[in-house]
Formats: sequence, C-alpha cells, structure tokens
Amino acid sequence: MGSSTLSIGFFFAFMALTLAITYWAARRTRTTEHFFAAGGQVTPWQNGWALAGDFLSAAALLGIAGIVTSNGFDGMIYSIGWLVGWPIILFLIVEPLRNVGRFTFADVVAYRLRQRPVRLAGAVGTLAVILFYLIAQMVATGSLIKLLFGLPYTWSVVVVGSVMLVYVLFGGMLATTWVQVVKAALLMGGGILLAFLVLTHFDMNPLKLFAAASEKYGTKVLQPGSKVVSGQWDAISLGLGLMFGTAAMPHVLMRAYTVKDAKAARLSILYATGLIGVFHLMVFIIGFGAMVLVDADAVAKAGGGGNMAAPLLALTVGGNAFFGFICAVAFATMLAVVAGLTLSGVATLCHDVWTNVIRNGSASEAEQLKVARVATVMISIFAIFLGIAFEGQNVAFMAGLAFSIACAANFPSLVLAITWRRFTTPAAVASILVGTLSSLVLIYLSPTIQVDILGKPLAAVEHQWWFVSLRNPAIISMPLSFAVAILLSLVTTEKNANLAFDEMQRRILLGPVQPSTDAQGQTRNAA
Amino acid sequence: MNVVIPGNTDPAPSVSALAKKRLIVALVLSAAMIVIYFGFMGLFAFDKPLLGTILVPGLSLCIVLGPLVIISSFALCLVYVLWANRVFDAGIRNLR
Repeated sequence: MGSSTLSIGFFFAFMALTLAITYWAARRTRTTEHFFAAGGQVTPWQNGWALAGDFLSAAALLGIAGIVTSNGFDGMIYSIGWLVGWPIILFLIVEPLRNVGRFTFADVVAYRLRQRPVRLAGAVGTLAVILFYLIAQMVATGSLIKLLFGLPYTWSVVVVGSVMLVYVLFGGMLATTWVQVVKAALLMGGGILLAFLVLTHFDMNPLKLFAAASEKYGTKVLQPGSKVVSGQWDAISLGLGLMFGTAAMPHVLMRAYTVKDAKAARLSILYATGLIGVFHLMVFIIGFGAMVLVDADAVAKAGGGGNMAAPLLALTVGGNAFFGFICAVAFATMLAVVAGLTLSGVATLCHDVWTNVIRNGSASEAEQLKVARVATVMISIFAIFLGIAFEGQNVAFMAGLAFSIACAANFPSLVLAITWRRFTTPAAVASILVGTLSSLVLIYLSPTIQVDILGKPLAAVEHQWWFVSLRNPAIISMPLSFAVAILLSLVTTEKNANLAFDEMQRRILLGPVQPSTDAQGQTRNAA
Repeated sequence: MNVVIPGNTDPAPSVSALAKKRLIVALVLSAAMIVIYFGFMGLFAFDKPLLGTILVPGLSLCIVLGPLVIISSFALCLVYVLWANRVFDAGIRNLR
C-alpha cells in the first residue's frame, strides 16, 4: 500500500536527521557534564520544546485521541491530569532542583542527608518508575508499529531499542535534547495541521464539531461518563497520581540541569506547559474529529484499542501522504521518549549508584563516562528484552504504575528535603521505599492485576479481605509515604542535616557558590 | 543562623526572609492549582450530572471547564514567572 511506503519514507527521513544530530552531538560529548546535562548550554526555549517532547508520548496523540473518539469528553480527564503537574514543578521543585543538584533529583534529596542510603533508596524508586514506563513504551511501540507498518512485533521493538541506544550512547543529553526538539516540532506541527483540517469541515468552529458529534452519538459524548474511570475515589486517586507523578518524573526533572541557571529552568517549564496545553486542546479536537468524520466504530474495528483514531483521521482529511506522516511521527515520538527515559536511568545508575555509592563520590571523569556507556548498553538490552517478553500485556496499567510510584516514592521526599528543616535520612529512605512498595502491592491487589491480568472473575476476589478496589493507588500510597516521612523525622534527629538546612536555603536562592559541587559534597561527607 | 558565606557579608536572616517569601508565593499558587484541579475532578467524581449540563447545543459545562483548567495552569505559571523575574530575581541580586 502506498501509505505504508510513505510512512516508512518519512520515518527514514526522521532517522537520518536525528542520526546526523547524534553524530554532531557525539563530537561535543566529552565529559559527564555534557553526557548528562548537555553542558548546561541548552536555551530555555529549546529546553521547553525538549520537555514537551520528553513528556508527550505516543499515548498523548494516539491514546488520548482514541479515548476521546470512543468515550467523548472522558478522554480529557487524562489530558488535564497530564498538564496540571507542570505548575507544581514550576512553583515547588524546579528552581531548588537546578540550584542544588547536578544530574538527578537524588542530588537534592541527599544534599544534607547521608549520601549512600538516600541515593540507594532514590535509585530504587527512580529505576522502578523508569522500568515500568519504559516497558509500557516498548510494548506500545511494538504493537503500534505492527499495526501501522506491518513490521513484526519483535523487529519493531529491536529497531526502537537499537536506535535509542545509538542516540544515548553516542550523543548523550545533547543529541537526546535535539531529537526531542525535532520530534516535538513534528508532533505539534502534525497535530495543529490535523486539528485545522478537521475544523475546516466545521466552519472553523469547534462548537459545530461537538454539536455534530452529539447529533450522531447523543449528548452523552459531551458529558462525563464512567467508562474511563469507574469509581469516585478512583477518579480522585487517578488525579493525584497524574498531578504529583508528573511533578516527580525522573526524566522530566533531569531536564532542569540542561540549562544555564534556575531562571532558565523556570522559563523552560513555562514554555513546556504552554506547548503541552495547546497540544492537549488539539488532541481533543482530533478525537472528536475522528468520532464524526471517521466514525467511532470504524476506529474501534481498526484495532489497537482505539489507537488508530488519529492516523485514520489523517487518512480521511489529508490522504495517504498525511497518514504516512502521522504514522511516522507516532514512531518518532516513541523513539524519543524511550531515549529520554533511558538517559535518566543511566544517570541514576552511573551518578547515584556507581559514583556516589560504590565509589563514594570520587570516580574520575573517564571512569564515569565509561560506566555511563556500559549502563546505556545494559538498559537498552534490558528494555528490548522486556519489551519482547511483555508482548500483548495491558500497557496502560504499567504507565499508570510509573506515575503512581513517582508520585508516592519521589514527590514526598523531594518536597520535604527542600522545605523541611527536620527531615532526616531514615525518613527519606523509608518514605521512598514505602512509596514504591505500597504502590506495587496496591496495584497487585487491585482489579488491574487480579482481574485484567490474572483473569480471575471479579466476583471471586472482590470479597477477599486483601482486595483493593482502587485501580489507582496514589490516594493511599502518597499520604502513606508522607506520613512515614513526617513520623520518622519527628522521632529521629540528625544534627548535620538540621545545620545544613540554612546552607541549602542559601544555595536554593543563590545557586552554587563554587562551580564545583563535588568539592562541597566531599567536605560534607567527611564532616 | 549567622552563617556567612565567604565573599558575602550579608547575614543569613535576609536569605531566610527571601526564601520564606518565595515559599509563600509558591505555596499559594500551588494551592490555587490544587483547588482548581481537584475542584474539577471532584465534580467529575461526585457530581457528573452538574458537569454534564448542556449549555447550548454542542457545549456542555465540562467542555467549558476542562479547557479552562488547562488555560488556568498556564496562567498560574505565567503569574509565577512574572513575579519571579521581577520581584524575586531583584531580591536575589540584592543579596549577592
């Protein structure tokens, strides 16, 4: 089919461009500062686009458009949830993060606490988030590529894994940033064009589009339903997970370090919020457009759980070339997101675990880079392997789990480390571990695993004493993590952590006093 | 409290005052975002009929409020950035 050849053509053009970027970036990546933070030389505007690129996964275009097409308004619950975390990052997190840390958010949590235990616990939380999110992305990639291009599942996972390996291994953060910028521009451009073409059918008036949809399917498509989120408290819990999970996603937080200073980091979050907001408003138009112009049943029949809504709409309003373009953009999107995730996993393994825990803060530049590259290869192979192993699994719950863990494990310790003088090492460690474990256990005991994955009938499990009816654990796991952190901080005392709070406050405001943050870390460790 | 950073004779209290000021602005704006978002999610969870009120053909209350939550997220960010660029950064310059 012509459209498939076109998609592959567009995709190869994207690969050629991004590999050229990687080649260019590879020659500029000589130090860990460059590998993990692009030497801090990305501009706020570029970083805003890169943040949008990191965050807008294929789920944003294909998944949400599909939910809107089949459920109408309810799809917007996800769009909104994925946006409202950004102001929280801006207000509470990004400036302290940029001024205190170096590559990972564990830098900030561990700053005035005991390095080893906090960094180890932080690595557990971060790697759990990245792992689940990476599996979700890899599985989604495999099944979508199969659907879009007809390439076998295993091969598409291997292709995505290998290309992301090349980006990260050779180009580090600089290449990853530019891959994100290019991808975000393509995604926004494609989305705007698609929404525009839809609106030309409705006199450029979204209200006429919504009216046409409600004429065809009844007013229920304009009203909140209960198919997407069933329980009342489940909806609130989903909201908590999306909002505070976004504010603690390691690959998003890592971008605070790619710009010059805290002011630039602040601006990049503002730009990212605007871009992501505009994109989500367009996805809403796209979803309704597919509902009216393509037909909800036709989208459902095309397979992939509604994910074909946007590509089919492109085919309807723009023909084969546009279909090919949107398919290629979807593929490019997944590639870029897994690259960003991999890089933050590598930063955690290399900077937190190897340099600061195993080597106690004193690894040479060359050694750190070597470890980072070995970790990149390891994570890539692992991701390909898991992507293949989890074929056909429900990926939504893995993505949801990633946000829940980020929200329960990372967010409380990060916020308390920045704002609370009494926060102590045992509290930080326990909060991260309790947040991670409780999220995992609650999901395991919920219908998501018991009914959807293990295939037990709901009636058989719902009266068991251990059964948790919530599909989204955040409403329990996040308060639990906060409670553990506060309780343990109150019953333990840590004189050094308490004394170093003023120094950290000063640094949060003024930034690093000396260019080398390591020297300070060393003296504090020795003291 | 009297930590003095070399090369800067300014004592710590002014730092903690500015830190406190930033924290208050940050907390107020965060609270606004949380109230807006969970107000909306609360309606979604507990009063679907109200949220589903059809205002004019093609427009329901939730289709007005949903995009408004998105727009208000950006607006709050803009408020913070404008405050930080004007007031907060000036405060920092005075400390240095």
